[in-house]
Amino acid sequence: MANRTSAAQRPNGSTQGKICQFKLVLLGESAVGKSSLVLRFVKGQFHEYQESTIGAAFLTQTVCLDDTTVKFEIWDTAGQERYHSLAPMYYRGAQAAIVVYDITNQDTFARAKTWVKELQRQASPNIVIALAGNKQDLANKRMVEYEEAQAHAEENGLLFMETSAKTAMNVNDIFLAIAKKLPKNEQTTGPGGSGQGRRLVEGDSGAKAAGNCCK
Amino acid sequence: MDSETNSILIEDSDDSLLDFKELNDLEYDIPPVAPPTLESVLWDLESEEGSDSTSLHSLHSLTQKSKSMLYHGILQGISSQVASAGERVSAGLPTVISNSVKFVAVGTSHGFALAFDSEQKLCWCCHDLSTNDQGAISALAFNLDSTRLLVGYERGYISMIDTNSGDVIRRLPDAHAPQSAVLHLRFTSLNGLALSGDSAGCVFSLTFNRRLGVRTWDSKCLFSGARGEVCVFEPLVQDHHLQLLGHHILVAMATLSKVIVIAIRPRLKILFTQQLPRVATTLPLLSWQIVSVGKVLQPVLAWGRSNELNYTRVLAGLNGNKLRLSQLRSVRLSYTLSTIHWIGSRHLVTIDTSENLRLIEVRTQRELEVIDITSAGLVYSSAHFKALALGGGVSEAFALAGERACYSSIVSRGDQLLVLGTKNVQIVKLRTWSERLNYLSDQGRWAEALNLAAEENMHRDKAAMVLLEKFLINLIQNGVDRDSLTAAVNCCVKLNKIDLLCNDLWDAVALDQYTLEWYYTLLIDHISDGSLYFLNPSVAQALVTYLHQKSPTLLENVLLSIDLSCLDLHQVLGICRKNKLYDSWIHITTKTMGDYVSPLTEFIGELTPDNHKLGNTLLVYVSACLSGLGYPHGKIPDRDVQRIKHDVLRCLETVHTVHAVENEQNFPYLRALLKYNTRECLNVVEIAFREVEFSGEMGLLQRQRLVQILLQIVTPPEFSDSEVIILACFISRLITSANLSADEEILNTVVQSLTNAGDKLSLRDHSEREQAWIDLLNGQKMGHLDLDAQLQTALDAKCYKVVECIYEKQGKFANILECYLNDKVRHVEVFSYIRKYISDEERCIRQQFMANFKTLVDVDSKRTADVVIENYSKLAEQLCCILETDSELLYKFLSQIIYTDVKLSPKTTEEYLRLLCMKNPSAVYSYVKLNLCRVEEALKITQKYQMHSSVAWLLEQSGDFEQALNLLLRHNMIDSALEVCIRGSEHLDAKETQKLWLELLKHPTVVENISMRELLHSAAPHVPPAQLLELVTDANLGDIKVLVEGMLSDCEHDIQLLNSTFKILSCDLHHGLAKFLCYHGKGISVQTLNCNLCQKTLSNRLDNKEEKIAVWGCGHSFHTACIALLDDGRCPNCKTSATHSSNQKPPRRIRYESKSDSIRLRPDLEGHF
Repeated sequence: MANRTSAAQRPNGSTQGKICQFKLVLLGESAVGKSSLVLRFVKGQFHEYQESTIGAAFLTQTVCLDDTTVKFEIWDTAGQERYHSLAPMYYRGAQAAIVVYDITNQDTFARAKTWVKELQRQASPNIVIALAGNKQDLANKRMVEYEEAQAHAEENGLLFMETSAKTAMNVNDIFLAIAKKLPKNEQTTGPGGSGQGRRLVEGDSGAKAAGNCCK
Repeated sequence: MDSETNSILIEDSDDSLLDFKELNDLEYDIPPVAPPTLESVLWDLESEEGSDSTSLHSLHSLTQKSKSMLYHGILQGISSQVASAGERVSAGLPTVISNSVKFVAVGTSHGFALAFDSEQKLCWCCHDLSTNDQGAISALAFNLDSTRLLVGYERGYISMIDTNSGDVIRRLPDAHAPQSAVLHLRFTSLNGLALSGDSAGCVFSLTFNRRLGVRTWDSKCLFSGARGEVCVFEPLVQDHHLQLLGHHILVAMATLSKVIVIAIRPRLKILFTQQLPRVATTLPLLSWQIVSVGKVLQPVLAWGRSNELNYTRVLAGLNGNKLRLSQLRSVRLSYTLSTIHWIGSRHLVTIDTSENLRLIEVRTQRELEVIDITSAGLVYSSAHFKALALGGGVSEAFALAGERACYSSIVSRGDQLLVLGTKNVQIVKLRTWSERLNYLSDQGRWAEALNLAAEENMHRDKAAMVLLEKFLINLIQNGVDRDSLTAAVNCCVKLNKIDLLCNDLWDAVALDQYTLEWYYTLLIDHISDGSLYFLNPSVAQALVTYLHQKSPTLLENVLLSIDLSCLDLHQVLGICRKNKLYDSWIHITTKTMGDYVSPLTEFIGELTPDNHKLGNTLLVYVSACLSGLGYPHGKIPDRDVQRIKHDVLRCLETVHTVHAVENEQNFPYLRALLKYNTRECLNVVEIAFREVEFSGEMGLLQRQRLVQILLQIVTPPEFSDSEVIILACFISRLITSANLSADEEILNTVVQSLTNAGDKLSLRDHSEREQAWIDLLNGQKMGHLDLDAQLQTALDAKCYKVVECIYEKQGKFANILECYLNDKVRHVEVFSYIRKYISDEERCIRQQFMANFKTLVDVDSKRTADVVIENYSKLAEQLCCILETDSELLYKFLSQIIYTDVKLSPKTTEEYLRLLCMKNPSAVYSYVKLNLCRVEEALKITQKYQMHSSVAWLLEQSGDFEQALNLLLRHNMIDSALEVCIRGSEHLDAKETQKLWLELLKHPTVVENISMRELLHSAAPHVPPAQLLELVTDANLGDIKVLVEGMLSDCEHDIQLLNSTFKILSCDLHHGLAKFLCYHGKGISVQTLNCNLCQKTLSNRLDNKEEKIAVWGCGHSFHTACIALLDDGRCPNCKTSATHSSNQKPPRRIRYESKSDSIRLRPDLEGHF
């Protein structure tokens, strides 16, 4: 598992010794490719017939960014309508969210907009939201214009990319963009410095421990 | 004073410079609990409530805590400076040590006093030239404020030093008994009051004053050594802010035989005395400490001698009045004490004669640690005790006891103890909690350290965190063992360090499969006992994967008790679905999504009649939902209850599933549940009907609708008769309890199912069906149906209960009995029916009884007989006739009534005898004995069936003993024969009896069957012995011995009897004669010589010369010839008087006046006497 290897490497690995842990949640209409996106990012795989998610699936992935190691705890929620009531459980404590829509389906884009609204209203105020227009490989069947989405993203201060889980286009990029935008400086100020919950404490202690052992 | 009182001299363990530092509690994040260990529980022992589980727990783990409680080190700074003082200024060896809040003072053998501050720096050295001749310093004492130091010398001098400058400010050359060494000096809580003790055993109080700038002092003898020498005393010193005892100043003193506690202020008063063990070579020991008992502080004195240790506490009333001391406990030790000191308020330090220092927890008296302090070369002040510098003059006992005196070389303060040795000065200190954590972790004793950390309260978080982090680093570097991992997980869970538990610790253990498994096991334990609720999602995910492979049931438990937001639902729900963990699937789905319908829709396809796990789960689930309860536990949030009830009900009432296939039957969910278990499913519905949703106008409609659906679903052939009946019963219950309005359609369907069901029903179904039917009948719900038709249906369906009910309604009582008899289940109840209505003419019980008599007897002959005996005893004969054809029943019936009072004709009784002979020969004899039959008839019957004993008995009855005997003998029934003989002897004359016996005795097999002895014994009275003996010639002596003995004793008895009779007879004879003689010997006076009748003289004999004269006792006399005519035996003259002596009269009457006769008789008689 991805997170386990990262743990094994840590004692002698990242000499910078800065490890950040973020909770990221994927939201969007069903069958827009959330699970595929995550699978591509975490395992580099793609399945043509990805089974539909029940409730929410959990995955982790670690990325290195300059001098910091960013560990994503990813909650891949189910898109089906019946699971919508579950979503707050996951996005409430999250530091980042990716709202996914299918560029070949206008409805999914509309749904994505409502997700964004809901996040802005109910998630933590400084959550980093990214909008992902998936299935870019099917651009010939496009129903949502790039510009339209781009405009919406700018309006709401979102990161925006069109992605393709199938071709891996922009998949890592969008996660890395999020990682960059996340407020890493706050991590080192300790638990008093932010209202982002318990993860920060972990980052704090983890950094300390690592620092000590590498002295 | 402020918190400095508790300030502690501690030493940096890893720093060799060994400087004293003042420690602030705040720095070490110790919560502000004034004296360090407030929850001392020593006193619980007395109050008998000291078994709270937490302290027991901590007690238990003490074994592992050992060797971490005490810090033991050398005060290098002081040691080296004392040594150099000895070398450079010839101060001599150290003799005394004392400490205060600010200083440590050491006295030497050449009269030098050295004072050190908390950094171990020498503050001043005092060598007073005027005391040059006073020899060694033998006592030192600081006051409470550390401003003054009292110095006592072995030659008796005392001086006071200002601790700031080291100048002598008071000199007390003659403060106590002359020619004695100063052994003890102590300040009380007051700066102006000190105590001194000397080698004469006296105690003086020293008071200091400063009037008009002149320092004065005064001394007063408190206790004279003449009465018993005081070896040691210890004032109770309390801080100024502590006013526990008001203005009282307590001093504990110990002589060689007693321990005494006195108050010296405000008035001198003895509060407490107690005997000390008498061990001549040891000194008594005292130590005060102020200990908290709950929220109250109380001074406690520890005192002891030799191997005995006692604790006594001081109880004070309000304002410190009414002081009272009470003994807490007494302990016997395995070693000999040489000193005791409190260290902290929970522990006591003892040093034994071999210089082993022991730490004792006061509450439990457990020995926690032992340290050897021989390396210090402990200083003993025995020389002072013997007052060697003054040339002795000390009592022998005192000198002997003082052999190992170390009162002034070991001092304690707070939680530390100073030991003065000739080689160095050592410090022993009780570690605080955080110091112990550090110590243990530095030693790598992780399990102990972590357990210790987990035991403490939450607000010591920080130190525990530091410890955990240290542990993690160690773990990554050195690997991990089970114990410390257990302790670490426990610690994390206790302190709620989930992040640490799930990130760092998990990362560290994840490398090793074996450790990882252990880690999982620990997590599962904590989750199961509810102490761990939340996990990091990654760990939760891994744990689920692990459990999925290992034990699905355990997984279910974990899933049911863990926070759902940390679970990977996609993974978990998939696993639950695959492993049929229905409970957790339902739990998760309902709790996270609020979706209460999907459990039904999801699993309905799997629900087969044998899938009990799912079936029961679903039934319970539906029931819980409809009652607004959570599944598998808890409650549905109030605001959702309405919706969920509605949803679930709607789902049950769904006509078709979403993905309905072509041939799907309607109402798939309810149908599946009904098919799984109709009865239970209907119970669920019935329970649900009690809810608010199903009451009222709307509720009634809901119910109506649901019942309609149920009726639609439960139809043959898909559902069995039994299930149809169950539904019908269910509905009829609803109808009769007015929970359902009976519209005709429903009613018809129900009645139809009730009436049309086949006869293959189980007993339970059948009875329920009958009951439902009857309920409907009684509830007037079937008014539209013809009773007669129903009666016919009921008869056809064998619902006899229903039939009975209809008969009752119609008043056709004549057939009711048959209903009972036809119903195999209920036929026994017929008797209670009979009894109930037996006097009811209308019900014609008698006729029915007669008509069905045979059947009744067949059902229960005893109860039938009871009825007959009670009510129809006169009909008994007639009833027997009814049974005549069936001998079996007749026999049963008769056997019940024959022995009762019912009069039966001889014909019947003889018939019974006949039956008895056939069916139960063994009972015949006793029956015959009852004499119920005519003898001749009975004889005939029994002879026919060869009931020999009975025949014999009957023969006997008719007087034919002989024949009876013969019969019995013929059939070898010797016992009976013997009895016949015995009975016969009572009834027959001797001759016949003898004949009978001879018959018996002559029978060849007799001897074989009865013991000869018994036989002879019985026969002896009736058969002449000679003949008897002859008959039993072959008998051995043993058998006839009794007989012969009996005969002999009889004979002897007879002879004796004869003798006695003779004796009595002759005795009687003699008495008779004697009386007679007596009468006759009495004289009679004759009043007149004339005959009272004829008035002629008596001598005048009339015609006959032989004429006699009769004289009566009254004195009247007559001629016999005169009275011959009135021969009535009375005196003719005075009849009355004559009657008075009537009994004497006849003899007198016949007395004759012939004196010669009587004289003749006399000699004979005399011969007899």
